[in-house]
Amino acid sequence: MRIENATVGYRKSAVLKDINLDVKKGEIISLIGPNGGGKSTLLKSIRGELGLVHGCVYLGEDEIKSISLSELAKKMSIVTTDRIKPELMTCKDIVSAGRLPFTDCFGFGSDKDFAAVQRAIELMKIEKIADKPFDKLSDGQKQRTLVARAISQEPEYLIMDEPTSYLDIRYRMELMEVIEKLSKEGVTVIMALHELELAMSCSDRVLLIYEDGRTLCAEPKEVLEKGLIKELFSLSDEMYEKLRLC
Amino acid sequence: MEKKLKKRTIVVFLLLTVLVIAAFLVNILVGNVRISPVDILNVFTGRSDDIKIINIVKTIRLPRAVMALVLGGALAVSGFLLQTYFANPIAGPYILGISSGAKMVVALTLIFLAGKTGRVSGLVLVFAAFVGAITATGFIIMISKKVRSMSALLAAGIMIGYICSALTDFLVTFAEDSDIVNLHSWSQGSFSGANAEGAIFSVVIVGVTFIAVILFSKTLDAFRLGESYARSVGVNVKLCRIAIIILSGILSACVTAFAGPVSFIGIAVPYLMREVLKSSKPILLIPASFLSGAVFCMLSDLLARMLFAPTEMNISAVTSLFGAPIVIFMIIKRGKNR
Repeated sequence: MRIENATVGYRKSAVLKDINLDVKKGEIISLIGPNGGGKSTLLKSIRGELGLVHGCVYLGEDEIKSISLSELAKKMSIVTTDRIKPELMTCKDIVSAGRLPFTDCFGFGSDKDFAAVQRAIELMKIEKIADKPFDKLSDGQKQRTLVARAISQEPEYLIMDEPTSYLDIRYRMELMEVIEKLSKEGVTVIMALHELELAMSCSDRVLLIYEDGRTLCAEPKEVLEKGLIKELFSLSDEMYEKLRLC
Repeated sequence: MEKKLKKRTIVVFLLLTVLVIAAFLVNILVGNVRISPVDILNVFTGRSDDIKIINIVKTIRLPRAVMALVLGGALAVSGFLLQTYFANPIAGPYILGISSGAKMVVALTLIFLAGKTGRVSGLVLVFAAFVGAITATGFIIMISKKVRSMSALLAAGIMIGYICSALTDFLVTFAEDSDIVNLHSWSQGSFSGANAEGAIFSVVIVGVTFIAVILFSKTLDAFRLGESYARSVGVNVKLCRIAIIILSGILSACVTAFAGPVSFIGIAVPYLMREVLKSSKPILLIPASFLSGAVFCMLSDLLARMLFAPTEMNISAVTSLFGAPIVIFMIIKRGKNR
């Protein structure tokens, strides 16, 4: 994936300017930055939901705009922060919904589809709740189900907006393990993360998103060495010291 | 779990099919004039020579039963589509004022066109109803963009319904003297105007639309997780939304053109089917809703014409009586779950 001179935002008001990013296959990229800084907006543009104000996003050789939705669905899957309220769907139904781009015209799946769903369920460790109604699950269980849904789609690109929300520390760590595993299999992962420590430990690169619309791509090591976090979140010296001690 | 659901689905569909056939037969057998089953069988095998009986069966009861079947099913499917569109289980063509919008344009057409030529083709009526239905839906969608609250949306729909009904009542009252028969009972919802032409139009229009809806079911399936996720599995959300409105508009327009506004089937039936099937999968829910909508409508029509025979009630009186409590029950049950 390649992002070229991209300016993202709504209508004519740009949120982020001049983003240039060349993402390698299997790379894990985390977007970090303050709330309301435009992380979700950038993710929306990357998944093609929001047009760019300026510039291009390429998947392979093709510009994302020129890829049909059904083709895109076979390459890219998403986790959003939307709270969904499906009726009478079990956890497994939700995971199976990730197979819709591959099923026949009535939505019935093949053995391959069932296998993909099963694998996603095992990866996210939701076997025990698979038959439970989705609306009866806890927020954390819902979140894991939604990530499993995205995994079952067997994407080349996995685009996630705060995939760790509602997860306790263990599930967060486990999620990162899953993400690392997928990345070794060649899945490119781009995600917005709130937990800096997770972003630093598992990402190949992080994209810092500043409040004034600048962006900076750096390796985690560089971010730590140069103390970029302090400026990114406009922390006071005292706050930054506390953070470093943790 | 999976197996149990599969078994359940098969049983439900078998039962519904039997019920549809049974209700259809009863609707043909029962009426103001007593006709024995043997005589009716003779009519269909061509061995009857009693013109009066042939007339009653072929030009009155058969078209009426066919229309109640097809249009009842159409209403349920139309309701299901609107519920998907608005992500709200209480949406339906009647409650959102869509039926009333259709009714108003049909009444206008009848009064102005029929006044001049004396007769209006069924197809013109369906088209008029479609224009009314889409216009009313357009208003609802505009309001739904301004207010996010579902109850406010329903209230707005009910108000639109009242406005259209009031205007229709004006029109009907002024037109009463002219030669438009049945306009009054039709505007309250009734199958008493059923005829062979209407039955054929209903079967063709609803049949074609129903097939389109079935082919569309995978897209509707994706919609269950909301717009972003639907898009991410390859659904063109904008096009899909337009298609839902057009399909559900055609279905409710067809009902309104031939039988006037019929209440509650659009909400109560899909809800019941969700509960009975324990699933909201469109590919199952659409045919199940069609079948049970057909049963509901045929039985309601039977009650409407037989309860105080020879006086006919309007069918909405019956469907409301049975449908509204189901909807209330549904609201309470959903409230408890929250």
